[in-house]
Formats: sequence, C-alpha cells, structure tokens
Amino acid sequence: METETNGRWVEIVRTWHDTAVTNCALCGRLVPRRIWLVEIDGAVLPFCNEECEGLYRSYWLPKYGQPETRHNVKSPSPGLTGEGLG
Amino acid sequence: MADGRSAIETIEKERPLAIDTVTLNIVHNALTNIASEMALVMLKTSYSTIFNEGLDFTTVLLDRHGDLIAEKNYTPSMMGAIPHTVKWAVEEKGIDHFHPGDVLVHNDCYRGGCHLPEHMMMRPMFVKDRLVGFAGNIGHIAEIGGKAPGSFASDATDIYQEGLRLPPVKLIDRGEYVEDVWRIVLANHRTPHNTWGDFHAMIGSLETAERRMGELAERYDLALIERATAELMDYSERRLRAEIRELPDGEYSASMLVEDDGVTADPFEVKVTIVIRGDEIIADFTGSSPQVRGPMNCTVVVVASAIYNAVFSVTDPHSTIPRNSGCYRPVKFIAPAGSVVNVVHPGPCVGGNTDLQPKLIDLLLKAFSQAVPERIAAASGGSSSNFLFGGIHPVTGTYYTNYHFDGHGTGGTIQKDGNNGEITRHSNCRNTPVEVFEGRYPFLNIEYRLMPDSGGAGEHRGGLATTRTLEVTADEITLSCLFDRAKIPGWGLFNGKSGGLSQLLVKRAGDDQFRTFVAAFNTVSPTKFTNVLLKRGDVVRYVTPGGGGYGDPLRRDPAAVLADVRNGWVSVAAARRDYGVAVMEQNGDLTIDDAATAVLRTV
Repeated sequence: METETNGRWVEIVRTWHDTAVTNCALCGRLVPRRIWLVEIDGAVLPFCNEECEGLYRSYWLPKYGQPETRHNVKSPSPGLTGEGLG
Repeated sequence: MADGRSAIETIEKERPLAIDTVTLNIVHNALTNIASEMALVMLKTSYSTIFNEGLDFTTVLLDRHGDLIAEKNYTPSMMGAIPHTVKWAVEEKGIDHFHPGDVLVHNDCYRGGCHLPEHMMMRPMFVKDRLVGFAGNIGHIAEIGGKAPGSFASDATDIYQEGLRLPPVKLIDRGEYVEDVWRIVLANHRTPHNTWGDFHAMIGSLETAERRMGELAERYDLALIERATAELMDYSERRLRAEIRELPDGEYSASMLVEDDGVTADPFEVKVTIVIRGDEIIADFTGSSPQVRGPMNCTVVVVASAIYNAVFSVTDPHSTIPRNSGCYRPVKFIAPAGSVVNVVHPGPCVGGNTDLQPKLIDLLLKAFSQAVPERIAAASGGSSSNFLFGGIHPVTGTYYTNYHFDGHGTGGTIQKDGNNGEITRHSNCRNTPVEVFEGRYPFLNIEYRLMPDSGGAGEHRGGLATTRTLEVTADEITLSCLFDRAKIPGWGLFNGKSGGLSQLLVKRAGDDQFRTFVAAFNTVSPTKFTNVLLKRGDVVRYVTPGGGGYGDPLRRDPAAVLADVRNGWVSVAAARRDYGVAVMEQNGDLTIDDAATAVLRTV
C-alpha cells in the first residue's frame, strides 16, 4: 500500500573538516550523503530512505506514539551525534 | 513445508533462475574461494596472535555498488559491519575518490566501525581500467594506543581513551604509501612493528583479491559475472524469505539486565521485540537504556551483526543460503541512536562489541524461543573474557602487548548439551595454544581446565566454563581486563538453570590466598579494570562464565549425570542437589544409588 509522503532527498554538504555524522531517525544507521527528509506532525525527521519512513509510519508511530512521548529516541541534542566544528 | 517440499524447491518452482545453476555455482564458488584465499593470506602473513592464532578477521568481496557478493566469515561479529561500512565509505567519499591501487583504512565507530581495534580496509578492484567491485577485510589490530596497553580500557568514559580513531582515509594512493597517515598511525600504536605487519597482511589480502578477480574475468565474461552475482543475491533473498515465512507471525519480546558498564556499578537494560510479518523480520530495540558512561555500548553495525547472527541461527543453521547482501534485505532493525545499542559521539564502545554483542544474540534468541522453542539454545556464557597485558619483555627487552580471550560454556538445546570451553558465538575465534602463549609472553600457565559445576543444570546441561591460572615471570606486567557475567549469570530455558559466573582472582607474591582485584588493588569492579601493575611471582586465576541449561534437570538421564560426575564436570553434591541423582562410590568406582535417586526425584 502506498503511503503519503512529503519527503524529499537532501544532499548533506559538509566541509572536509566537519566531523559530524547523521543517523536515521528510525533505524539509527549512518546516513552518509543523501538523506530522506520528512516532516511529520511538525517535526522534520531524517531517514535513510522511503522504506524507513514507511516503517516509521506503519509500525513505529502506531506502537509508540509521537516522538515527544517516545522513550530514548528523541532527536539527539546538538553535540551528541556529532563533534562538528561549525 | 506443509506439502513436503523444501523451501528451496518451492522458491525454484515459483521463480526459475535466470542463469543455469551450474554456472551460478561455479561463479559462487569461485568468488567464495577468492575470499577464502584472502583469509589465508592474512593468516599466513600477519604478526599478531589475534590474527594468526585467534582468526579475529573476516574477508569479503563486494560489487561496484558496495553490495556483498562473497565472504570468508571467520568472525560473525563483523558480518553486520561489512555490508554497511564499505557502502557508507563509498557514499561518503564519492566513487571518483577511488583509483587503481588505492587502499582505504577505517575504524571510526560512528561511521560503521565495530569498535576501535577492528580496522576495515577496502580496495577498489579494477579489470582493464573498469571498476568491477571492492575487496574488503576487517581485522582486530591488537594495539592501537589509548589509555591501556592492548587498547581495551574497561573504565574508558569516552572514545578518545580507547585509541586512535581513523575515519576512511587512504593508506595507499595509486600504489604508493601515504606516508603521513602511516606516520601518524605508527606513532600512536604501542607496538608499531605488529601494526606494520598486520596492516600489510590485510593489504596483501586485498591485492590477492584483485589479482584473482582479474583472472576470473579472463575466464568468464564480466557481464556474466555481474549477472550471476545479482542473481545470487536475489536467490539468497528468496531463500531467506522462504525460511522466514515458515516462522509463526507475531511479536515476541524479551529484556535483560546487564550488570554494569565498567565505570559505574549500575546495571542497564536492553529490550527487544522481534516482529515476524510474512517473509520479513523487524528487530526493534526501542526502550533500551540510553548509552552508558563506560565502554559497554554497541555501535549500530554490532547490533546489526547480532541480529543477522540470531536470524541465521534460527532460519539457516547449517549455512546453506549463500551469504551475500540478498540475505539482509528481509531483515529490518530499529536501533535508536544514543541508546546502549547505538552509541553516538563521544561514547566509548570497546566492550560493546565483545561483551554486549554475545548477550544481544542470546536476548534475540530468547525472544525467538517464544516462536520456535525447538530451535533455540539457552544463554551462553556471553562474555569474551578479555585479558590484555603488556610491558617490557624480559628476554627481548622490547615492548609487547597481547589481547587474549578464552572459551566459555554455550547454552543447552533441545537436542544436546552446550559446548564446553567454546569462544563466544559472535567471534568464533580460536584460543591461543599454551605453547605459543608461553613462547611469546612472560606468563607461566599453571593450570588450564574446564570448571566443574559451571554448566547450568538442565535436561540438556549448559556447557562448562574454563579456568586458567597464570604466574608472572617478568618484573612487571600491566594488566587490563573486561569480563562480564560476574554478577548476572546466563539464563536457562524451559526450567533449565543459569550458568556459572565469571571470576578474576589474584594471589600476590608472598600472599597465601587468592583475593579479588577489588581487595588486592582497590579496583571499582572485580572484573573490569585498567592498568593494574602485576609483579614477578603474582598469580592470576580467571574463570569464564558457563552456559545455561535447557529443560528441567530432573528429566536428565541419570546415566548422563553419572558420566558428568565421572568426567569431573559435575560434583557429587551438585548431582544430588540440581539433578536429584545420588552418586555413590562402590568397589572403587562411581555408580548411581537407584533407590536414593528415586526418592530424590519424587520429592
């Protein structure tokens, strides 16, 4: 079944001296260059691809609820996921 | 299968192969043999015992998209890393970054590394100037700097205490050494001679792969090889999906407490829910503890490895499905970033790979046991029992370090007892023989044996732990350890009992008894500590954890209990207490007291 999406592919642009990394909001994997960015209920979430967004909508959200209520999966605060210089 | 056909017969009927099976088999075996030869090169040319005795490495071939097409998987803990890490490195650097003769190295835990000691190397493979794929390997480099010799700081509170971290960088550029990178690496490792040798073993393995791939391309058309590898991946995917369809749909949850993180004494929790939906599996770790301060956190690829290990154990225990990226397509996972199962910067993680990973596999299997109890083992010992030491060698006068581990007990199953003294299932490594150990390092092995009563009681008993006693024969040795399961044992299943605990003791020179390291050296943890200074004549004794039992011990065949007692694996007291079997001595032999046993088993 097709899921409605307002997602878009975004190229991550970093300078060579930026050491930050981005993780998928669902599976937690590294997203090295192209990110599937989706706005869901006012929050912009980074996913690996449409498949992770689909699993988020079909499995994760119905089971655990909105991101602000979920346990341990909050969007990481700045400085936690990366040690970016700028 | 309900209609009597095997899963493979079913899928071949559903979808005929696009290439004949003979050709597919030839290509598959040729690629797998290349991966095996890569491993042999590493085995024969490396310097460190962790490579040439422990086999702590894996070699793979990938296509030009970064998808896994063949492997020699000595160490299953790396199977989740390779398919992701190479692809991520290619994506991050861009395909134009790679030239003939290049070799990249990478151990960044936040970019797909398992833990810092495990270095991934990759080399683009060109045939007649055309990129046809990548050769890759991951190997555990025994010393990479950081606060503790052997780079296993069990009290590390950030990644920088664990050693030198390398994002994907070139070691070799178009066939030439990138000398500046080598100089940085060699200046930061305590035993640069070994690093030089082990790095070159890895590089030689990659060169072998490219050479053999070129030879294969001379025998077969490249387009045919590419079609065959694509077909093999689809085939593996269909095979695994067919096996998953045989499992009952549902959600199966399990949780466990892990005793501490090496820095604080507090336990933390890991939760998993396995969702089986048709021909797909989701492993969901939502709700697990936030990442901990000490080095018991896992990286995301370590969790992936644990999941694949558990899924393959349940669906394809005899490894009949070709291992390639196709196998990974039906398996999804959720490992929240910032939790103990997906560490983010600057969290430490050296022990997450060695000591959380085996327990994650056991936890996943515990969840699966609700769906397929007949396919699942009770918990294993679940600790690699990491024992690291270094110093100035009294014979050579040079600095040395060594990373050593020993076998634990595995869990009992519905068919049989657990295995005794087996290295953890995620590492699948070998122990180092006593002769090699003593020949290289200033420890004398006083004792090395199985530990009585360490296997969890059960209809099928858990495997026994090992114990080793070592005397220091140098003026000084610096010792660091990371053992788990010293407080919380591995569980039994279906009324089976827990396995034995691990233990570390020391008898200082001149002392008359063994004491804990807490008592002797004031360490915070009895089994996780860093940089304890041992002196000549000190004796260390360690015990690894045992496996859990499967099924009610009162249902164990009394003859099997008697055999265990005769072997010295179960004591007479434990036979009576745990199994309800009374063993007595008669005419110089041990025998069963049938009457007393009947009473014990009736009560």
